[in-house]
Amino acid sequence: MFALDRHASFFQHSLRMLPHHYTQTDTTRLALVFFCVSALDLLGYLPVGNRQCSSKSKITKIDVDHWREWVYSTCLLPTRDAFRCSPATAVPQSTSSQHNDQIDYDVGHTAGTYFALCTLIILRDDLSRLDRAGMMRWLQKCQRPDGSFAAGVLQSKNSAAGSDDNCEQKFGERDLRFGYCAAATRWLIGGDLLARKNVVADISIHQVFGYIRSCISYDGGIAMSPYTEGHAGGTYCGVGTLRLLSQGNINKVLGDAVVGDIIRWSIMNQVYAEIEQEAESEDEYHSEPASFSSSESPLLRGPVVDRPAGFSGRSNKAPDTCYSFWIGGTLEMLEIPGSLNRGSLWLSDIRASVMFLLTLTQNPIIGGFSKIAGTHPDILHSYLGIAALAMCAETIRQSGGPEKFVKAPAELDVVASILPLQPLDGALCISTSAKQYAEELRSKWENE
Amino acid sequence: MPLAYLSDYSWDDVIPIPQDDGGENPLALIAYHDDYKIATGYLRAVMSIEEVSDRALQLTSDLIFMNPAHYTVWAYRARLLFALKKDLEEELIWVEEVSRQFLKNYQIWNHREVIVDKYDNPIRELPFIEEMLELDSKNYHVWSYRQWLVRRFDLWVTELAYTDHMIQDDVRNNSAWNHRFFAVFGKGEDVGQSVIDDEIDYAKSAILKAPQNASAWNYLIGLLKRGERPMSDIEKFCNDLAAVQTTEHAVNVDNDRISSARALEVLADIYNSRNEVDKAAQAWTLLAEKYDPIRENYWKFKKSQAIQRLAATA
Repeated sequence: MFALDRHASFFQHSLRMLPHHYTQTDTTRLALVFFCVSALDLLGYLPVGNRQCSSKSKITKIDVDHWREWVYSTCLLPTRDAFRCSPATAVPQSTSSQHNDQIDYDVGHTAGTYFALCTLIILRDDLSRLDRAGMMRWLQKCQRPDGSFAAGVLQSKNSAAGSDDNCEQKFGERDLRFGYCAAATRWLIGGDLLARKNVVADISIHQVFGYIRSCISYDGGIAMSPYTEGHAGGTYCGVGTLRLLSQGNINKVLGDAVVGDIIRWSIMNQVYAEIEQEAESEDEYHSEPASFSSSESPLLRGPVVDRPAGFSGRSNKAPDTCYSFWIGGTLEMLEIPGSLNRGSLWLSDIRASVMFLLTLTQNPIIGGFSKIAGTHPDILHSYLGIAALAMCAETIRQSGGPEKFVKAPAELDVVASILPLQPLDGALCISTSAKQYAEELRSKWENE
Repeated sequence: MPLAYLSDYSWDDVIPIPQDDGGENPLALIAYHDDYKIATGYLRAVMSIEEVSDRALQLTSDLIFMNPAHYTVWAYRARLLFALKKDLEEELIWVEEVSRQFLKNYQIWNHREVIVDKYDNPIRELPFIEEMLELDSKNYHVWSYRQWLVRRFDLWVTELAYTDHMIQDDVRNNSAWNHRFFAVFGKGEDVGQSVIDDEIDYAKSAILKAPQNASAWNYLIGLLKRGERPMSDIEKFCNDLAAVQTTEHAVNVDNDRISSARALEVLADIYNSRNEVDKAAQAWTLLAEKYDPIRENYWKFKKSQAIQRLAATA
């Protein structure tokens, strides 16, 4: 059964205090805050919007106000055009300096900015304290000529003051993650609307599309960078970026055939918890195929029993909680031309996927989800497990209810237990009600 | 035991700057160890004036071992190394220690790239990468770094043999298969049809060894697409693996001999491309009901899509 209240308690505890082994996530604390706040939103524990909040929730509107203020006071840069990813990377301004080209290490971070904006939107902030046009100019600086995005830009304090920009230096890995964060940021602050009104120039959308296309792997998945391995995280970021930048028209950008390949690759990544591998013998490798036809094929003998099946991130890897979201979110965003169903998550085995999360990686005692069965829950996997289940719940609601998704009567209560989860928007990874609020802000800006 | 930055250097002239966690009731507060709290206090102090010194460099070393994901520390460290004109080979040796301890970290490999690019010498790299792949043969960061290295120093010649070595070790290592695709096509030159023929044979023999292996199948299908070859080139190969015998309208699978669900999927696609929709539909039904039931919805969807398309064109 889905331990809703235990999860709510897990995230509330985490939002207050984390054990020291989280030190390795110290510089991405806003991600942790976002995971906790958004999880509580999906669990129906936040007193925001018009929705009925769980009667068990003790979270008050004063808490919500405090959380919002905390994000601003610890992570917004003084320039109001970007967020840090953690209070830990703040470096106070110093008047004394040792040399001329001194770098300002108190920098904005694309992921931090995405996490901050999502958190603020969930908490129904109106973003009026931001310099949205300045944020768009900063995003442009983060974009590389090949279309990818850096985590941020280091610049010397002199150039920050406007004298020259020779000392700009992009930092961070070259992959699809920061491009996704940039695309989500642009949408959440209405950057496309600002560009349309000629308030500020847009990022180079066609370069972004070109970069994502160059990351599509021969296996159908999307890699983190050109020619690297097709990966569920890269696939989610690539598809999410396209969704956010193309007004939802991914098929027009990639073509139906490529979208079909990505759907196929995603569906193929649903695998049983224990990978059952056929026997192979090393010394047969170079032997002639003639011996093959008479060999045994134990895998395909008969129908497989109804075991739980999660998602793996790459071909021939074991399933892991987070990929239920990276793949589930990808499928949720990809539409099938001519189909009456929303997205394509319904093509997966929802029942096996829910069972994987609820019976294998959920911790029903302390709450949360672990990466794989038998390990400790952590915040990232807990949030992504819940986000994945929220999408499954919506598919179940839209496809005739839990009765259609069980194979034995005893499973009905288990599958139905996820239905109280709020629906999730796959592209932004926040509740659809939070997304609707963002849309209201956007139409307000559009009419300004 | 005090950390080296404290025991080896004096910090009397530096006033540590505490972290501003946003007053009372901070969010997601981490119960830092005291070592980390003290070190980051000094870090903020030296970073705020961008002090260029050996003690600052040592501080970044100690901090990275406490939190290797601290991205501004890495950026600061790179600036310090170059400004202090440090021996870059020594730096690479130090990075190797960090890498062995933190296998899943992104920043280490980004830093190594910056250093090796400046050092302009790949001598340590391939042996070190091999050591890392022995610890985790599918480490995404390491394989990505290897690709960067191969391009940067034009090291293409040995790559095909290396992937063969890795694939022989584990025929299901998808990272090794992916690297093989990179080794063959990554240079962006026209590779010629005979190379594609050789690779097709290579993939086929790997499939015969493990007929359900998605990595080898993906490689084979990827080659056909890249070489603009029709899927029907492997129809006979698939017939054998799926133990299929067909008549004009029927697909019969020998249940005792089928060894690959993927072979049956490819056959369905081949039939469908030839507008033999009834045969394709039978193959998809067999996948849905018998040979790959976890993907029942997907196979049924493929079937209904093909039938709809046929109805639309009729």
